[in-house]
Amino acid sequence: MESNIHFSINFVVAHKLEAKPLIRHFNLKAYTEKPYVIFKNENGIRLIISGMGASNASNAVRYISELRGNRFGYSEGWINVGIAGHRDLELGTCFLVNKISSKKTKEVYYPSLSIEAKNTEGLITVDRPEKLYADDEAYDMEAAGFFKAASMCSELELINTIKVISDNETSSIDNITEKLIEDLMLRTLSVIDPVVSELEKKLAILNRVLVLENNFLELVKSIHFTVSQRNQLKRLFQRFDAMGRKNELSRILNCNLVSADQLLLKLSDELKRQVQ
Amino acid sequence: MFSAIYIEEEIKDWDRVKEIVEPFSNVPQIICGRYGEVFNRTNQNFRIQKQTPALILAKKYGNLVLQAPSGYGFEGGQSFYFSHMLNCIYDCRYCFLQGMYRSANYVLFVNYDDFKSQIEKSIRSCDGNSIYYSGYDCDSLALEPVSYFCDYFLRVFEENPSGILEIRTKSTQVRALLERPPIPNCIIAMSFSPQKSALLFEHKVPSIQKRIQALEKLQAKGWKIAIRFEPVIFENRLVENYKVLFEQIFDSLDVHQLHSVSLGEFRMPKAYYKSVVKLYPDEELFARETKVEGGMISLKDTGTDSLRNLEDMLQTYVSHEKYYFCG
Repeated sequence: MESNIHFSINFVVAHKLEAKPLIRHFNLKAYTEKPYVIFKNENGIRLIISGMGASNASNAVRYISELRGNRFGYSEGWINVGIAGHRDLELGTCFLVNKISSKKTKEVYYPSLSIEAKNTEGLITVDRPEKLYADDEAYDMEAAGFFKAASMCSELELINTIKVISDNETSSIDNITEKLIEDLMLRTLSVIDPVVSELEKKLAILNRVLVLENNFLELVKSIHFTVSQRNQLKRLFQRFDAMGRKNELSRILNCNLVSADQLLLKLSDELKRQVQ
Repeated sequence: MFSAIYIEEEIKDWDRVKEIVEPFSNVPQIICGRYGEVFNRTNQNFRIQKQTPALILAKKYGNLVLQAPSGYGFEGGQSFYFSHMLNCIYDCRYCFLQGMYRSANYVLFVNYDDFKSQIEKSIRSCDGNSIYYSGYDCDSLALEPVSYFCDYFLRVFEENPSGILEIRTKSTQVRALLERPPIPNCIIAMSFSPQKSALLFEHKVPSIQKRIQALEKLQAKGWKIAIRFEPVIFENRLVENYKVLFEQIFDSLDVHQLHSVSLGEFRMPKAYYKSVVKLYPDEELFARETKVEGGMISLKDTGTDSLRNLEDMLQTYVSHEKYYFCG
């Protein structure tokens, strides 16, 4: 009855150079070219090149979240990966972001962390490359826009930002080369993989019931339900599932009951006969 | 233990804060404005967050001591509750906190001195004894090694004997209590469900046996003990299951020394219940038949007058005077 559960995890990356190692690592194939370059694989991972800046990152999140329609309301995971500067962290230091402050809007966001996440830093999103590193935090140009937009279409626990240090007081932003970016981004993979695996577990919990509901709805698609009846029906599906009575539910749904009222009544009556 | 520790800017230099975070040097420490920036955000998922909760250290403003809801607790004076902490380290599926808060993170209000002032003011304002429940929005003992709650608040009540403190808990963290002399105006109230319900619904909670052992030690040391059979969750063989539990508990403790014993059924405000069902649509407990009365959801009795039967049986173990129904 239950189909395989495939869920989306969306990477939002500012520049193609930053994306390259991820494209190889996850075996992503080109999907669209315009208005955004998007890659995807068969396992539900997608990557969008947003362009630089918070506003571009925000627009890219909105675009990819609407791309597939997601009519079943499945939760999706979000990861922003990229380079960042810091006053004194060594080049190549990878970390999960624990706090994002927008220098422009003064808004602050707090990404959730897992128990295993030991290497974390605060991050300030700026409009122009930061060369003074005034605060003891990392600097980037996208995270605030990314997080704000992602939090509007997903649970906060499914949104992550991973950065790698590309410049600091002793190695300026002007020293960044294509080769350096690729090398640095390769280092992020060791942080990305556990985050992806954690997201998959969370998505499995959040989406399991939605998948189940949609599979059972498919069995009664010939019956017309009002919105309210559909909601009642979904709750009844959930209750059968929670009670370990899915086989019984399948049998009832295959009984060729012709009206929504008939089906709802039948399911409610059967549930009242609780098996303890 | 914590995925992160958020600390309000205002209190980051407080000694108590430094003391609390000191053993957690490996845990990310993040400065925030007010705790609500983290705790009250929209689009949080309690269920997912519960897997890796964070600790938020905050200062509570206003409403530090509140009137207890009617029907809550035992008789003996005006009743109040105070919450130095929001949320619980345990994960009981029937808990109303899941439906009440958007976040599963633990908020620890560290301005204990302000709580002390408010409690003392409240005690002074009452004629005779007044009762203060702790453990309404959290488990007061469970985080003792971090919060030092007992260490501080027992002294407050020791100095104010007309204030009676009930510490509601499922924890076996009783070392702080055993290491000091008991105070007569403090009651340690331990909650129990029968083995079957405990295994199904009380995740991360110490076993019944360990909780009884903790109570035995406390009683031997002279602490007043109370037993809370709450919430009763209707099930087949309910009375038989409770009989086993009653025997287990009352055979181990000195029944005559018990402060009180109570019973209360599983009930939850309708709005909270709706939120909890959304979080756990796959939970068997929430798939059961329910009834609604006065805005509260409760389970339909699976037997005939089960609560009455339990009450009758319970009163064969404890005297009528020690018993009350929490409803």
